Amino acid sequence: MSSASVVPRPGTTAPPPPHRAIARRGDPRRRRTSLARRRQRGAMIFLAPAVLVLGVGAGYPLVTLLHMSFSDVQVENLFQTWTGNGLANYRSLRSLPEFHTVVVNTIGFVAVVLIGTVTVGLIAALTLLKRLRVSRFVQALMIMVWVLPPIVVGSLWKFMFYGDGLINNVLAALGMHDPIGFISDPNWALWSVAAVSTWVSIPFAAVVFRAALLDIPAQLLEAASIDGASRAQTLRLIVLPLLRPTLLVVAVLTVVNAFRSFDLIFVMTGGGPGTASATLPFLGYQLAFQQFQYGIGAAAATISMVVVAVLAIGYVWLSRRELKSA
Amino acid sequence: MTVLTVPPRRRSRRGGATDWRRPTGLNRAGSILLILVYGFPLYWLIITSLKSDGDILRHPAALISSISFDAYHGVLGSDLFIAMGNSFIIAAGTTVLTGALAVLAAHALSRVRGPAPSLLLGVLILLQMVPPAAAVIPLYRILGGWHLLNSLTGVVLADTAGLLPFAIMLLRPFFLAIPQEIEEAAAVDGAGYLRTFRSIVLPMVHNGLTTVATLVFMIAWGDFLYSITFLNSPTKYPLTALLAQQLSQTAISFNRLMAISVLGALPIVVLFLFTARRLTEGLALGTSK
Repeated sequence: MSSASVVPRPGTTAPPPPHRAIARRGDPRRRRTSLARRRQRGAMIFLAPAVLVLGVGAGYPLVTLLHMSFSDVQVENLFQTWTGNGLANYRSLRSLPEFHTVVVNTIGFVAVVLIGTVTVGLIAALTLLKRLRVSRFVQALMIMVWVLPPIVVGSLWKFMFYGDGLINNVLAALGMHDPIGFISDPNWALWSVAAVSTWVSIPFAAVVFRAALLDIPAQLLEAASIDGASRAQTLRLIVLPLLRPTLLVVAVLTVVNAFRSFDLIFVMTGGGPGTASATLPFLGYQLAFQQFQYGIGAAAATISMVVVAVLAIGYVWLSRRELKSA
Repeated sequence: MTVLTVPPRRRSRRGGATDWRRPTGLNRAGSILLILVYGFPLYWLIITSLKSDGDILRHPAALISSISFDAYHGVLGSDLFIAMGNSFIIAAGTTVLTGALAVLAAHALSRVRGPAPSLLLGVLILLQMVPPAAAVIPLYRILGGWHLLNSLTGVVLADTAGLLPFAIMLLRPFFLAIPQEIEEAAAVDGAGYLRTFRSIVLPMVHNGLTTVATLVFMIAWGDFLYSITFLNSPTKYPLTALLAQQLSQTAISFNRLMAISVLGALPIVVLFLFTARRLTEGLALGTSK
């Protein structure tokens, strides 16, 4: 992935360029001295606490989740031993009337957030590329929104989306007669949450894209300019191809984050009306903690997990390929 | 005098062929649009929290109003202070624990050779992507088994396990950037692994560590899912859970709701103002490697 990497500019936090690290680690001529071996042992000891915490706090829960999804788990036996029930949970999940809706919701939600974040993020990055004082200000403003607690963002937008809220008032002033039920109308709720989710994830994409754009060697652009390439041609034929690795990385991260967005749905719509704005991970949570069907909830969560795992593997594969081609 | 070399700047001013990094009218317009799209909701948040109880009922969508501290008077009380304290405990505890574990692990990951590091990196990427709504289901049973439900410690542990992969991945490039020769020189001079780490390496990743710690603090401060699931007595609630609880009540007054939101966002904004530049650069660096 290092072709997407950020070459440190003056005043940047990052010291020397990355290729040194890569070359160094891959050097086969390096002789293993006893000193080196001692350092390896030291490194292993440093790794141990994190591995332990991750094993107990992240790995073990995943195994438990899988186990739970193949077991009959209710409120009564949640903290006792579980008896296996094969694929019963998955069958119950599939036969739920809302399952189909929720799967379609999830795909739509993720697609909207992905397309919105990548396109607007890229446009914002191009907008903020110029070294203007205002660029730095806008970038700071956007990242500030990105770091705000999602619950704060969700309540703010819920307030603006209300029937007599700001947005409907503005629409009325523009001549619209009936207020839109942004969060109360089943046809709107999911897309309202997706819009806010996109709003929150654009700043991150814009910052990463901007860094990658600034990384493109000036000579390349000058050469294009000398050869008579237009602004659009430069963008399409030089900038975008060079940006491809970064685009892919941001796309994967955006999809994963869209999958992760729970807080916004919870606080804005609670997944409703009905299940109109619930996604699959959200449904899993509702089944477990609101209907106390832990086994079925675990099945929904496991399916979400598998989708994420496929993405993670794709991401690793992509980043390796980029590393090799660099 | 030679006029053979045309200054590149002059050439780029002629329409089409151009340095696309130079500002154009479109850039200024775009910047203004972005300021509106990102700034206005924040303005709305603050102005609403400053409306009087009467104004918020009569003109909920008024763009300007007289400033009143009704809402803040209404919400500032023991509930809010307790919630802020809880938020702080969760955020600070998670930051210390995650920071310490991540800095050790990220250093080790940048130094160990062989197949282990890339394998572990793959696992970290996977764990980083786990939807919290999925992890929370088994965690509930596990924390229950350890009698850590309804305790802030349980939330801190869950948050640490959740944020550790992210923290390690973000820190790693900072360690990779340190030339190994420096550490080897220290080792040759007789410094042990621990000594080298403490006196040589740690000061060099100071920037990275600050960035990661800041981000972890901000994310843990915003934690909602684990708190609302694991904690059941409102005296343990952090601000986010308190806010959601207020929001779900039928008779909510929005100026108070926004006042709680402002107070919940305030520590994050203050922290952000001190770290904005470093944070932005750290994010770009951490993602790109």
